Amino acid sequence: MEVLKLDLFQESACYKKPFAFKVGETYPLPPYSTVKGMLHKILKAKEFIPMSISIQGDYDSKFVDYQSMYFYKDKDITKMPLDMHLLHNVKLIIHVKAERQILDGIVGGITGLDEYLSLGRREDLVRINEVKFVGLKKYNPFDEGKNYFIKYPIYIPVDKTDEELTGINYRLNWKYKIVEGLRQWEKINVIYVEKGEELSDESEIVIDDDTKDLVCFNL
Amino acid sequence: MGKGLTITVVFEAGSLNYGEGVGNISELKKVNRGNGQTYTFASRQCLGFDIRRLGAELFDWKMDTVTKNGTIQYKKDITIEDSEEMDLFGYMKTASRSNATTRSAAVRLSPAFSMEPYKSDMDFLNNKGLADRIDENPNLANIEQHQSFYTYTMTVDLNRVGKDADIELDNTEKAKRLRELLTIVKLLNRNIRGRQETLSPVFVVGGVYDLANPFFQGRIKLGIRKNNYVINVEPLNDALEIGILDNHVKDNTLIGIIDGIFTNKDEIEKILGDKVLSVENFFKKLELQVAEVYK
Amino acid sequence: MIYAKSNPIESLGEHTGKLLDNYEILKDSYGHILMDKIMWKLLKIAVEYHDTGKIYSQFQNSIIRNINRYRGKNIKEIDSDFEINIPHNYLSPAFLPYKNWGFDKKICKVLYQAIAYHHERKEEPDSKIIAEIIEKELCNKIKDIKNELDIEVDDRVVSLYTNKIKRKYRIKKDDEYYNLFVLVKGLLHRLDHSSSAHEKVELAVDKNVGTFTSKYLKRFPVLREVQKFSKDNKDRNLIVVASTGMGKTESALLWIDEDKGFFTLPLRVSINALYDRITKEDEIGYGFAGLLHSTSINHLEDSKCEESEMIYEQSRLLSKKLTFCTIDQIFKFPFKYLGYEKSYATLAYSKVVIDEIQAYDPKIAATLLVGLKMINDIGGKFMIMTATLPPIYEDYLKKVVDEKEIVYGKFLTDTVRHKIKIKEKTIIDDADEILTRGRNRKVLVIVNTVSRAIEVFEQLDNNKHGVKINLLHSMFIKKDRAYLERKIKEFADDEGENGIWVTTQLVEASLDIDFDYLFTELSPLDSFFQRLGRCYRKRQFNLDEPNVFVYTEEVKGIGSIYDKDIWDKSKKILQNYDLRELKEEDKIKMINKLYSRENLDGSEYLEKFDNALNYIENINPYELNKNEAQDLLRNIDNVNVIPRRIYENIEKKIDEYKSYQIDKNDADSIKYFKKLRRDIDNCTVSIPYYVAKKSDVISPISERKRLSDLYILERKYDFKDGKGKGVLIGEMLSNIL
Repeated sequence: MEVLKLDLFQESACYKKPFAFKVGETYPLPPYSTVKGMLHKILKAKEFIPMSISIQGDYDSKFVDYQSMYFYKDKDITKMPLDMHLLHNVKLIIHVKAERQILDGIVGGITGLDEYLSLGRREDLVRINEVKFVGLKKYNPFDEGKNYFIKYPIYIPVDKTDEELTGINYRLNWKYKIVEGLRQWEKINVIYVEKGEELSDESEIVIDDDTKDLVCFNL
Repeated sequence: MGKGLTITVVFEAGSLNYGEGVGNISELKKVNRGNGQTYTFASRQCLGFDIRRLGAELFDWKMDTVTKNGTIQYKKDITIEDSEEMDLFGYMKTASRSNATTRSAAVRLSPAFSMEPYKSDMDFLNNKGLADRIDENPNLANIEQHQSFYTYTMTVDLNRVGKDADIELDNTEKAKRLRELLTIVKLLNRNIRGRQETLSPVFVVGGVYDLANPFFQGRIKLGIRKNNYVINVEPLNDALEIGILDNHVKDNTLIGIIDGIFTNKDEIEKILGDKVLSVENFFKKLELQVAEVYK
Repeated sequence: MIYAKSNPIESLGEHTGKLLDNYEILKDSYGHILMDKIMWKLLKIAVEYHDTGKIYSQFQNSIIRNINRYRGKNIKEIDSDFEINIPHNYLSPAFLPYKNWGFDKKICKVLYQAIAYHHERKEEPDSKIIAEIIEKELCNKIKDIKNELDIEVDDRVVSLYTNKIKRKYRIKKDDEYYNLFVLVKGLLHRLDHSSSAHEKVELAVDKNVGTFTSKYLKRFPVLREVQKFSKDNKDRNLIVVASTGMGKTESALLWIDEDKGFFTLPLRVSINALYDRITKEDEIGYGFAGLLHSTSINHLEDSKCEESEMIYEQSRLLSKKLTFCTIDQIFKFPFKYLGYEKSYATLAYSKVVIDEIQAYDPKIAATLLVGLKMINDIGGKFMIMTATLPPIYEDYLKKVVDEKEIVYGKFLTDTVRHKIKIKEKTIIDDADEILTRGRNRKVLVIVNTVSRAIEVFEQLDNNKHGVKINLLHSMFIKKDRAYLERKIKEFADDEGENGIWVTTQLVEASLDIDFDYLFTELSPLDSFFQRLGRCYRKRQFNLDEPNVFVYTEEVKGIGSIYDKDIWDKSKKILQNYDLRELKEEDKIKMINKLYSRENLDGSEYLEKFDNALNYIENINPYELNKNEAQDLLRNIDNVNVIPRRIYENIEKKIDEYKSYQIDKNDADSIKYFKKLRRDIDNCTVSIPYYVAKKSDVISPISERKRLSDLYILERKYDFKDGKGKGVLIGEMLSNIL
């Protein structure tokens, strides 16, 4: 089975955490809902299209910019300056699994992009380096004689592994349905695992046949 | 039919953008990098502000478009037809949460990051001369200084210029607005602490493409060779050789370069041949390409 | 040959064989207490594989280089693809054929970590390098390992364990296999250390101290109540409150009986005395005991013990059947320092006696209590013996140890030995009273500080009119202090002698003496009761006036040596007993009142105690090393010094010691060197660090490492012909015990 692999770059980006007041904190990688949103934009989709996503990547550093942000205050809009936390020089690898025609749709959409893509806030431009189809295969630590060493920090859904892993736990938004006029988010519990961490035979390890990058789909 | 315009600019300037100071020190906005060095940057708001300012100064862009209604925001009855700024940079008009009208920007800017590390230069200013006149103790102030090359990227969604809901301007107007924008970028400057810093390009690369992708963002790197500055060709070459899904970047790319600043123009010419121009000609040619789009 | 050790040269097979022999000894000796079959199975595996990582080329080469350097050989190094030497213990788990055993994954982790950390190192195992070494080298050495050790190894070795031995995943107390891990790792340490020292892991296993004690007790008509009680409750944890002279020590030995035991006391002097008593032929005659504290080697050598070195070594290895020790030697494990599992695992099949628990400061007591809880958790047993037990200690134990596991016993004599008179004046102003009684009786004066002792001594000495006045405190160099301690004992034992001894609290616990009258400054109740024990030690009170006079005004050392809250509360409680005959029961009542949570509420003392409990219970494991943990339990704020005058007398000896070249292969040379050091030590005195810190008080003796822990004290030292005032630090003496 082939999946789509996107290699992306952002010079600066903020994947804002919800409910972070006073400072605009950012996730270390874009959450599922953000990436899903970008893909749906490429597909010009009006409703949710079934797919699953694997997100990994690295950044050079974090920095802070003090800037104005607009907020809803009850029903009004107010402006307030705050410290935005930004990531600098972000490299992202996204794998997408879906029906072939949907993946083809994404490729077609990128070819015909008439708008510059962003990921995070609208001004966080994305540079696409590569889009390609890759195959997947299993990595069996025992056969290989050693554990799989994680190459880039990655989101690993908690229920996908028994491995003892250290990282930061997040509850990431994935998709929402409207209930009584309000968005109700479906959440996914993940652990953000740093590079160098190891996966042994306590996990199902899947890698792509391109550069042997780990693939951890959210569903 | 081109859809996206992107350019990545290099300019040389002193300190551009101060953040929050501590005591009487004015701090530049900074970013620490993985290599242990510190770089400074000017935020995109800061670049955007000067582009708008020059728009008003050079081309009479309409600026009395805002009103204070709880917060400062665009007047209800003003549209992109009246305001180049609202057209290019988007707007948000709100009556309340339920009926806010917004338009996202067609023109997007990245922050301008310094290409050379910051070395803690401080100007030690004091106002002793003034203070002496009124027999007061002088206030001493430390102002961080950073003279460096900076780089930023601009993108324009060509298909979205001059369109907003049911309004669509005619193509001549779209082309005019784009021409003005490119002229502003070519002449950009900034007034800061009593100096005028010029932000006009000494090197610029980009063009109009069928695929909207900021190819050169983060790929323009400064090198030093025999005490002279060069633009590293490797990352540049990587960007040019990209063939995303059969789109060839190289075919549509132009480079503008000012003589005498970077000493490896010949290397760059090896890659792009007669597409390496002066900065002036770069913008001329780019305007022609834009005109082509809006024919 | 696969090398395991360079000095003496030992092969991997030989060394592992030694551990296996010791493993059998341990299992035969205490398998009936440690009954977990899985534990023994894992321990055996851990033993067999613990050093397999030594086959790594760079480890072999480091041994070869050592042999060549020190033994003048010229062995060729082996070829290696690697430059880096990484700790062998991180490589050993590679050879475990874990797939063949079908252990649960968590059990495998116990095994991996026990082996990977059988040497505790600061450096993190580097998974990538380990994986590379295994892939490129170790997988080609499977046959060599099998030939050397006769163990199972898979046809392929893999490095999947690297994630399981990361520091951050170390097994901690909430892990379901925590106890198992402590035992496997701790006992592996024991087996490895004793085998490396070519000693047996357990000695004199069949020598039952209970039998020796019973035999000794046959001299007396009947077993005392407390002794019978301890004997009947051998399989339980005991808390025994008993008056002095009730035969507590024998009780503890009867309780230990056939088990391995550790007997702790607060003071080294008392331990030495106890050790002598137990081992002497004409007393209990148990010759298999060990002695372990910071200067135990000195005592063993002074006892003219031929085998001092051996006994010391065996005590250090924890191999003795019964060990007399200070708590800093075995109670560091609650701090979970690097390697703490060794003593913790040993205590899992031993019995521990804590004697005189009231003598420890609240922080140390807290450590002990947490330690007792841990011992109980892992299957060991404890016994607390004390004349008085602060209720806050008891409350804690009741909270953390199941009440079915603890048996309480209270054994008080009916003998009334004291009547006290509280005098609301300063002790200096009562010199006449003291002198009057000193003329025909033995009078002991105990004050709270050295400077006060010297003051009282001078006051009495100037008005003595023929009464004998003596002075003893801690500010004498060791050998003079030892001489004075001998003198005071002789004085107390000699029926015909009368006179006065002025002392500080150092006589409270360590000296077994009996005087007729006690004049003392008030100290906190527990210390005060100890002082009472030096007067009418076992006699029935028979005077028509009080035999104890307590002074409560202008008392020294409050707020520095003694906690002010506790002192104030003690004074208040004692007021009710003025001029009353004091029963043992009364002392218990007073202590129960003083050290109850409600009475201490808001005091600094209670805060210290609670904070310490909290800190130790929640300590992060492996943050401290062994020495740091030791320092937390020892009184480290002292500096050893030699007074200038004494230094000049022995300067030759010091110079000789500084430049002495030891011949490591000559036993006499080593012995001589140690004797030099002991002679120098005997001329030192411990002074508080904050005094030493002041400028011009001390000067260093040596720039080099040797003796760098000693200083010269730039102060007068007064001692001649067996008499003197000791160190004269002048005004700075005021806060020294």
